[in-house]
Amino acid sequence: MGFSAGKRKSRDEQDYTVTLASTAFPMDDLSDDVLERVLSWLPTSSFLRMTSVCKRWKSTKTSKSFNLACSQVPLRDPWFFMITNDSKSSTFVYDSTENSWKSLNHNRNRRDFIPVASSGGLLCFRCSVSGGFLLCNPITGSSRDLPSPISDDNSKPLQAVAMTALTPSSYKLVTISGEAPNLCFRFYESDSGSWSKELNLVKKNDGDEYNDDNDSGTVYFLSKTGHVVVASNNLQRSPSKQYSSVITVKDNVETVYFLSSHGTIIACDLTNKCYTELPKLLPPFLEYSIDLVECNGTMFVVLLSEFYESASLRIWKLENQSWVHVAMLPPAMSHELYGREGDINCVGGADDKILVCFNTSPPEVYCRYFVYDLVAQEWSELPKCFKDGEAVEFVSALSFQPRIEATV
Amino acid sequence: MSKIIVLKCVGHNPKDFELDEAVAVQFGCIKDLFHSDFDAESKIVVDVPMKFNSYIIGRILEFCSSRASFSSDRAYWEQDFFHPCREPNQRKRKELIAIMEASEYLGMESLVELTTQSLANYLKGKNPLTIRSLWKVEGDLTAEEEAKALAMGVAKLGH
Repeated sequence: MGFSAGKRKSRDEQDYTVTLASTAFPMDDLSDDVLERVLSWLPTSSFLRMTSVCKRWKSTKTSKSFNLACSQVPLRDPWFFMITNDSKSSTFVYDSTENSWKSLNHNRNRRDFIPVASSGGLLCFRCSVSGGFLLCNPITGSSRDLPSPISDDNSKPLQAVAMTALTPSSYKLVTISGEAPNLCFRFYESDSGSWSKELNLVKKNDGDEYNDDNDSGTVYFLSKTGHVVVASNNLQRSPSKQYSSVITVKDNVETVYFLSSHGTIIACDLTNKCYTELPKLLPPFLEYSIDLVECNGTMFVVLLSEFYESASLRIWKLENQSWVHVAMLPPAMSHELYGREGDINCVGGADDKILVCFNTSPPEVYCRYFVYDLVAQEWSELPKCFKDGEAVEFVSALSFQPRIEATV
Repeated sequence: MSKIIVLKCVGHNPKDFELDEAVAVQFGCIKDLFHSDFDAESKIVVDVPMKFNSYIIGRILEFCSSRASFSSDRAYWEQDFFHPCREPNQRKRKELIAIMEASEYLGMESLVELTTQSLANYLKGKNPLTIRSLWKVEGDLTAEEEAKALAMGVAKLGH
């Protein structure tokens, strides 16, 4: 028993139309609060275009309440910040909502700053000269310099940099340094504004040793012909991937995963201050390219390998200390990558998408970009990016959510 | 024993709507009236501003009384009540804005969320000029300000 109005008469509808006809600009009547809520639901590209509609809509961009409404939108489709070989021209992004390439207009590319990590709506760069960090929101252009973590022992080489969002408006940056078995880490929390002291990571030995670690770092194995062979895989990495890592938070445990120079995956449990080396996916004598990504709190490994006169591109995830196969690029497509001696650099996006950038070095530059949708279980390929008629070739990418409200 | 709240709509087609407690508590602005101290048998009359005509109030009350029978508000909104379509006609556009405003006034959070999301879906991906003409928004930026607003942030590249 709701209301006593009885049947709705069609006369009501006619009357309604009559009265509404006199409202010349109905949108003007909307309160700021409601208008901001509407605009906050728009995908970022759409919203940025809408700021040219009228003064009122333009003013929402800088309104505190609008930024608050935006921060309440739980997830935005990821954009991929593309990285070229010459980091000068890093102004390209791929907008996965509109499926198009875009150029960032106010990207002040600072010299010697290499993109190293991303989280939420922010990108993190590291200065190769000073070791300092720069955080920026690529949409608004706002940025902040962070001091370099001063290390008591400068001989500890940096191994990995990772970033995670603690809350929508605060973040944490982690650096892992040292040489196995002496690894350590530090972190910077945006709320505190300073670096923590150095914390040691203890090597955790499991019952069965997957990989024998010896000081020289060489791995021996028995080949098919019965000879003992030395594996000489030293991972070649492009500058933007040198400190690349992935961070996951599961059951209150923070873990940073990164690739060692031998291509093994190191898992650093920051919460319990220990680390392990994960089981190898392939025998070391096989040619391969490997990278790690994080999607929805899970770490995945992407592996490009060649055998049986073809190439295969596969995605794996770790479940109970063993690797589970998740997906494979259709063989017809991966075959086109065979014999090119290419490298894959991958990144996970906010809505369960994994971007794989396949690229070869000069003189034969050949780049392809594949995206795997973990939910739809589908592969797709990004179109080539052209600027002024010329194709732009990307080596790797970082993923971020385009958020106007993300503060550095 | 039961309190009754009457929403009094004026304007072109004046109407009074009697609400019982189950419906009235869905409106943030009215529910407190049920807990205030007054004679249990009385009737409270709430004057609704003229701009919210009886048709729109009637639609909102229809939503309130029928939503429980659906699995979710969104399901009801999309399948039965409003049917958001790709290109709404003028009548539908006006109705959406009117329901949005009235829901905000009455404090009906669920409807505010549904209407704002529907409107955002209609605006998404459209050209600013189209938006102005369809939704009757007056463009009051200078050509220079407009160009500047479009240039901020990102620019689309060709394929």
